[in-house]
Amino acid sequence: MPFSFSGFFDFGDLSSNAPMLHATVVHLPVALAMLGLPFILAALVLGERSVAARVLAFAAYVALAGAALLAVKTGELATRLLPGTLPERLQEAVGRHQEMAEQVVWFGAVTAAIIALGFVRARRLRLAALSVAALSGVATLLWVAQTGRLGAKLVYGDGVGAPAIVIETRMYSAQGAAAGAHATPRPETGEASSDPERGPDREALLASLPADVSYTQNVEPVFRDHCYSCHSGATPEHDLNLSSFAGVLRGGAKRGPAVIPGHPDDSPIMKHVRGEYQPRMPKGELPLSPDRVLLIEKWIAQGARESAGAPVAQERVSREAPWQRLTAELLDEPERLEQVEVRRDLRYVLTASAPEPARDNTVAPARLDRFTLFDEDALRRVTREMRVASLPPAPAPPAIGGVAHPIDAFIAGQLTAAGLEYPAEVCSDETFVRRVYLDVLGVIPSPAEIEAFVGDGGAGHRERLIDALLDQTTGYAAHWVPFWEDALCSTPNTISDPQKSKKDATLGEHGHYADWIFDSFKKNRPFDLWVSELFDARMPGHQKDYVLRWVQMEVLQSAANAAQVFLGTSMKCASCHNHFSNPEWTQSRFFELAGFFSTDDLEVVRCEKHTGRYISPKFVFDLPGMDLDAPPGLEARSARLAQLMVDPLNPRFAKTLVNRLWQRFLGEGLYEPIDDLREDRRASHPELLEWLAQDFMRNGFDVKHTMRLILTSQTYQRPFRADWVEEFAPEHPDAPRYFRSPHLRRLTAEQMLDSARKALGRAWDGDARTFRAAELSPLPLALGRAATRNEVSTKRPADPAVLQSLELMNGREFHDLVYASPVVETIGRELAAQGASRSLADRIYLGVLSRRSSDDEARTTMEYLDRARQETAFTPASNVDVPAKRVAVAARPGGAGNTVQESAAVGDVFWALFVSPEFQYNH
Amino acid sequence: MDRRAFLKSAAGLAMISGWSAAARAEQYEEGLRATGMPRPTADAVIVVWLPGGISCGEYFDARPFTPFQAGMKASEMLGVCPPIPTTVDGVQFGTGLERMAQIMHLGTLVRSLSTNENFSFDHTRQQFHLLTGYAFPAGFKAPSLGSVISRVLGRRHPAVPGYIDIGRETLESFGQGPAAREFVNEFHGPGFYGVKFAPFVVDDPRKPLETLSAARGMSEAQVDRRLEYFRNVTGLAPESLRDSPRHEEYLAVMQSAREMMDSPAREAFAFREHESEETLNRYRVAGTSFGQSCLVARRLIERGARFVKVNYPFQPFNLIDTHRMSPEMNTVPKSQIDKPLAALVRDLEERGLLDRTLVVVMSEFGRTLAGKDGVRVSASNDDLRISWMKGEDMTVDTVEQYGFHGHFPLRNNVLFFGGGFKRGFAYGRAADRHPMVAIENVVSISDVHASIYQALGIASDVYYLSEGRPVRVTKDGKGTPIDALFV
Repeated sequence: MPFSFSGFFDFGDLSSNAPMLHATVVHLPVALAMLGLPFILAALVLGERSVAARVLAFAAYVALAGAALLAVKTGELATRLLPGTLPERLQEAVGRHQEMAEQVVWFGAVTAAIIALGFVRARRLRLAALSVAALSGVATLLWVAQTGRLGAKLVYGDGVGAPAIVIETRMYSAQGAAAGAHATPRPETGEASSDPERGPDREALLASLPADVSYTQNVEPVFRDHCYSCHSGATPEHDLNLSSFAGVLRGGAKRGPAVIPGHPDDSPIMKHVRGEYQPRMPKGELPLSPDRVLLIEKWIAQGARESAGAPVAQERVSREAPWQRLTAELLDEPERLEQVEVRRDLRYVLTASAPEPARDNTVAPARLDRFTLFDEDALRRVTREMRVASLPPAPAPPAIGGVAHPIDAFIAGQLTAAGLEYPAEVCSDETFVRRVYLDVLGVIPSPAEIEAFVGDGGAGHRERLIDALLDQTTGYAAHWVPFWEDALCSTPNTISDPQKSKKDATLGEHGHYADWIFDSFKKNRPFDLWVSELFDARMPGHQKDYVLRWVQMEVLQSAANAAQVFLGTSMKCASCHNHFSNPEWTQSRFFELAGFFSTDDLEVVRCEKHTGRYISPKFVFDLPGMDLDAPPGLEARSARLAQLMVDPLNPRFAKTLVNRLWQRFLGEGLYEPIDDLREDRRASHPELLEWLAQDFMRNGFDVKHTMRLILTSQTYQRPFRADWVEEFAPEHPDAPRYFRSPHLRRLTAEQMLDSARKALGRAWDGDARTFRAAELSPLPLALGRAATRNEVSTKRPADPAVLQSLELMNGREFHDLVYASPVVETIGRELAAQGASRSLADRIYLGVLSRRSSDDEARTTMEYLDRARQETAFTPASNVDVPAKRVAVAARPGGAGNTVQESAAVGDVFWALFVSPEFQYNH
Repeated sequence: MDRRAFLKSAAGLAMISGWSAAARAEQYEEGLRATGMPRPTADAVIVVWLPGGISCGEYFDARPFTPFQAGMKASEMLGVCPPIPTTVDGVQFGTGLERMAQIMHLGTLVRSLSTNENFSFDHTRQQFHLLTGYAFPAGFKAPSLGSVISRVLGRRHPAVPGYIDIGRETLESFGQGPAAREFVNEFHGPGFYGVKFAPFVVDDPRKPLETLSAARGMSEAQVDRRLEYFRNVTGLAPESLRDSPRHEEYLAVMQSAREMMDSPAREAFAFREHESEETLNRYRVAGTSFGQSCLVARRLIERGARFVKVNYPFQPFNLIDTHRMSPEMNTVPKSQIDKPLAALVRDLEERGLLDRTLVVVMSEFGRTLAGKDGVRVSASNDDLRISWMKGEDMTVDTVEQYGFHGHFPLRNNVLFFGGGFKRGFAYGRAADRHPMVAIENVVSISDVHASIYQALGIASDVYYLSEGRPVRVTKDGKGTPIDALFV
């Protein structure tokens, strides 16, 4: 392309286009910052002879300061044009960019000033000044680079101030299609004027093209010449196969359909060919010649026909991704189109005012009122709303006098129907506060927290506490991590054999999710979106290790794991043969699901024998209005799978989760076993389960919402009554269970150890929480924390075990934890000073069991303390040589002195209460 | 709906599916078999675990010695050490197992264990398979042999742990990190059975279980005084709690933990005080505690242990993991195993314990003879591996190569002594030509497990429920006891 001065100086109409102006000006400081530095260095090297270098350096930095100021000013102008609806994240980023840019001005000015010092005669002073200037120059350069990077990210990454936001809105109507691409002006760019396909030759070129352009006759040969090397065959790049008409319409994994019939400017393929999308296609070759570009354009503008005379291709609206689904919905409702356009690059929704009246069959550009830059979450939410709207009506809670809470109404309904009494009692405040702390934060309340709650005896104080605890986001999230780590097979390290190839080493590695789980629950991410991230490779938060794709066995395992955890459906038996005990799951039905986890159709291997029969993937539940087949290509498949898994019409997804919540808080699921939901067995309260699931979905898959609902019910707040506990028995799966009393729930290793540390005045929060510990010592292991998580676990064995009791009784870890703790030592000193007292016993009871002692308990405890302090000849752990790594937590210097016996006696009481069933269970 | 109507409809649902009836027809209960368990021929088991992959030709199934000659064809290599006769005709061991050779008439040798599945060429995953009976990944947390046996049969003596695991060396010192160690812990462990059936792990046979004694600084008297206070205050706990069977069960377990502290098992570790110098010498081998582990195993069995596992250390690229011609790999392990193992079997026999105690010696896989060091074939490509193992196109140029024994699960040996197994018997055969796969009476890991279970009176399809699904003690309940091995 010949160099053209007129082109070089043609900035377009800059005054009316602040973003453009800004974009032009910002590169000047970059250039000057790069230019100035060598001058300073030259001045340093040349010594006294460096006058010219110094002058140039000085000039460069003065100019830089000026240019930066100009950039700041044009930037300000540009920001004014930004819509007010910019998300907060982006507003912040714009602000930061602005701030940094202003600092660039100062960097330039200061550097220039330091260089000016370098004009003095004194050699040492000059050298010093120039050295400092050099450093300052480097800093300036880095600052400019960082500022630029931030700006570029805003424009290219987020589209703020990019040409994208000044695009014209056009109706997707027949008129629009007929009008073709050039009914509306495009913003001029520097490049445009040197682009023949847009220049004056355009008309001539257009005229030279065939009247009717079609795929087979005209376009396919162009694709063949330029695109097939990558975009054809069995595994085309980005799943985009241009070698068939269907492939073109289906499009690729990244941008969706390659053409949008009637809309060449919006068609991804045109954007790639023109370089509006990077990389310009064909990649690594010269751009297509103008006539070929125009040929494709004309073909699309004419409706992208397959062959001459064929009907105009319908835009293929797939449901592959929710946002495409959204497009589809909008296309079905033309009246809404007057307000909304979905950008074809699927990143913006533009809301525009109604268009000017059409003239000459063209559509005038509509004025842009507002645009929403929406993340994929927002799109998914919109899709979800539409799907939730088509749910059948939820069962209504039975109307029972005096029972307001919907959960209680269902529970009461069943009791009344069975002729049983509906209990009126709720547990005491002390019982409640311990129960709810353990359930929401995974840790017992401190005495102060108990006092604060019990003191607040006002109406609704339990609801207030529940809300307050749910708002303690870090504690809330911390308590969820162990459960999901177990369920997702989260493993912190690779099971690696250094001799192995990487492929071998990562086998069995399901990914490490502690941080992701923690962050997501901290933010209370909607559950469906969170789960989608495990499957959908297109989501920014995608967890790529979850779906293992290696050998068939791994694929089957991935599918079975996902089905178990998210559909509550045990399919593992069906991986080798038809499910033994559940006619619902034939092997081929399981394989239909498993296919979504694989690139290819799966071959049926029946009891280790290859059958040569392949099964195409199909989602296992019929979800009306959804495409149940798997599209080709892993990415598309993963996106489809995610969508089908979390779809509101999926009969098991939400139910499985609310059932897990019920089990977590009441001790057993409404449906048991929780991982074996099946058609031939009913839940204890089927309507309640259905109602909870629907309520959960209608409230945006908000886990906290459903938790709050359960925790505020009287059913949750009942006192524990052993004779009212009905345990699920596999031999009588349909025996009624009424939930008149919660079950005793064994504390998990994490709940137990965090609570003990809290009661002992040790660090227990933040990084000290047990789930954060990367290495496992015998104590948490004995208490049931998973050593490795190669297999899914949604319920830890809760049986007491001898090994565990021995660890608590004689294990060094627990011993050191209790006896050398700050609280034990403090109380030990008080015991030494004042002797045993009721208040002392009460403090220990309140600290450990979250209640005061009874008279008998106080007496027994006081007697024990008095007796033990006389008898014990005891060496607390802090005085013996503990291994170095334990010193930090175990040893507390000083203080013990002559109160060793008393501390040991107090330690005994703490130990006994920690190890007591009352502490070991949540009741 | 009243209760009866509800029950009716629930029953109706079950009838429609027919599942409920089918489940009843199965006539099993967790851990039991209604149609009867086999008659046990053993009450206790010692598994001697030799991880690393024994080279069958150098251990229990030796072939003619073909000394190293530069340029020899790999397929002509038959054995890298001279064979020695045993007390059983037709069974030859490798040099270095002279004492074992003298007790072969007390045992049964299976020469034809073969596995060919994903990862069966991989140490830890094949160890998983050998110890749990399920190939990795199993799809559930698979329990190991010891946990299965101690769960189905319970303790033999009420205060002696059902499953004791002695001398297992961790992998940490080999740069494998905690995850590898925990993975190994897992397949030696209770799987989905939970802590209740976890092994009592004894790192060093010279020290008893740490938690069987009071914590440092405490006397047993203090432990008991504290426990008395514990019983007093738990007896005063809120009544509703005390009514719960969970409460009761929990206290009972605490009580049995205390009883365990007086366990005769503790005594088993005090062998230096209680065994004669002669006995100590019989087991002692310099440089390893394996001998003491074997001795402790015998003492534990005497005191009522159900299942004891004695571990030889696993060190990748060292000891049994024979990847080089070197004393550490070719002579040291045999010299450390030979004496104590022979002593253990003889000792049990002399004390009249061998009849009702089964000793099983096993390893994760066998080994090929020659290989090309540095050539690694992806685990998924077994065909290529096997053709490479034939060695027809390969010449052996260096001693390194002569001693490079690759992993080979298609031929593995298991030794059984006592517990109802035949004496002086060999079963199955491996080919004479490379790659010397098991060719006659080939058995699977499930069959080996089923045989062990049969000796103990456990049917191979006994199950426990995991997530509502029956998990059987051998894979899908399909392990077949090898009848020929039994008396």
